[in-house]
Amino acid sequence: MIYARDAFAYIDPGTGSFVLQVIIGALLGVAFAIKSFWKNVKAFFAKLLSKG
Amino acid sequence: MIVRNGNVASSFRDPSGSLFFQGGSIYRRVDFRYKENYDHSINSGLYKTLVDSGLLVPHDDVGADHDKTHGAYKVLKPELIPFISYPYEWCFSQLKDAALTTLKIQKKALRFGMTLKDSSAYNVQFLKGQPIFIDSLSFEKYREGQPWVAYRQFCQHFLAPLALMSYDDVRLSQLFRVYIDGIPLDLASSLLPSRTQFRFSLLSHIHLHAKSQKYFGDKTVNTSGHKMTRRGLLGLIGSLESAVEKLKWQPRDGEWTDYYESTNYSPEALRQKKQLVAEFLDKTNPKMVWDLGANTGLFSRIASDRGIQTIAFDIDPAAVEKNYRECRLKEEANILPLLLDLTNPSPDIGWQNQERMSILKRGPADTVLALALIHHLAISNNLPFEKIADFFSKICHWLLIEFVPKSDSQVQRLLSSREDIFPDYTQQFFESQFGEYFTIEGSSKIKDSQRTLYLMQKR
Repeated sequence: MIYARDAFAYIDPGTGSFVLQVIIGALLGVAFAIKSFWKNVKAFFAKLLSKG
Repeated sequence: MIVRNGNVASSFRDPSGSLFFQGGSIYRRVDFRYKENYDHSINSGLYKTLVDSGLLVPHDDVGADHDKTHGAYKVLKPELIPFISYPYEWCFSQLKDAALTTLKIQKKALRFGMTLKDSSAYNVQFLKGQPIFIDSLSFEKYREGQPWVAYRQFCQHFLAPLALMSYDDVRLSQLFRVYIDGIPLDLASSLLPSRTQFRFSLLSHIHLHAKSQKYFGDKTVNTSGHKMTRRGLLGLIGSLESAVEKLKWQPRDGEWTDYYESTNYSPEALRQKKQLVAEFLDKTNPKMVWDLGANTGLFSRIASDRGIQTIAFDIDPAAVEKNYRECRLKEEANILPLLLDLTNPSPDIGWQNQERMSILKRGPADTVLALALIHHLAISNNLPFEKIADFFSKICHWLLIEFVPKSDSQVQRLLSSREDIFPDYTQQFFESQFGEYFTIEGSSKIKDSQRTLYLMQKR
């Protein structure tokens, strides 16, 4: 496990935990990106409207 | 706490450094191999930010020369925690606060280019009424793409027990006494009700997590190709945080009330009892008080309000929960409510039975309060006075104990369902048996009741 060794981790992250985390991380990363995108869109229109 | 010079028995897993006692103080030895990470935690400002926000125990750098036997990079002297407590002694909200503290630290660490390399519940303690992280060597440099190495441990130490306490039974926190590295996720998954599978966070972090562990348990996988974006990692931490925040526990109706109302005191007797406790405390001038059978802490607060470090032990998770919530609400710094069954107090557990200390090892306290307790031990638990006195003499120097006679309605209630096999349960015999271990320094009858309060000093 390359990161564990490089980072000098001393606990076993566990293969199953590792793989699952990467999958969930990918899903949540996308959700996170969509959320940020909508936040920006909303902020843009809010700004536009307040200007108007 | 019994303090001997030498290494702390629980400090061996992480090779970054270790803890040792010297001259009554605790020190943290930082190994050379942790140099780069240690320097980064200091130079990046992470250490200062965490200490300033009350999330990490502050330490003094006392110089590597302090530890002459080992070639240490640094020797640190952290602020001493007056009383070490463990997750199986915490109520629901204490474990939840410890979980949120850990995640808050992880989020801050990422902002400073570091990440937590472990997330053990034992790294959190309570200091001045607040949860605080005690391991300053738990941080390592974060590299883009790196998943959270402590994810499994977080789920086992925090999410699984909190979910079990919330969805099944609050007493399941006691599984911590058996499973020192947190609740195995397959066990948590099988115990949790199936409706928890409809919550994404519990479905993923516990149920699917357990399945994934089982599936990959006997497989060798090259994980070096798997990367996790920073956004993914932040999403994961956020998901754990909202999962923990949503978990709630509320004692059933009725459990919250009638703690003091159902006791045998008139308002005048209660006032007098409080005054007597205050007087006895002033006489013994303790630094550390243990209130045994503290309920929600009415009498503990007589001590803690005087600035005395007070541990309020009770067997009832609802009482400890209520007490802790009051502490947080009023921002009380000197009282720590903890769960404890006196008839089976926390033992020494872990490797060589030395990792986590028993209650006896964490004593003695200067003064112990044992109010309205003796009948529960002697009658409900069949303990002879001699054995109770023996135990108390091991955990305190001063004992403030209330004798509740057989004629008291609370004792009558205990005897109503069983045969009275306690001919020796008399005040005279109580005095003679406790007299073997203690000298009776004073006693006072409590008005409008049949009870007597004693102040005793260990022989």
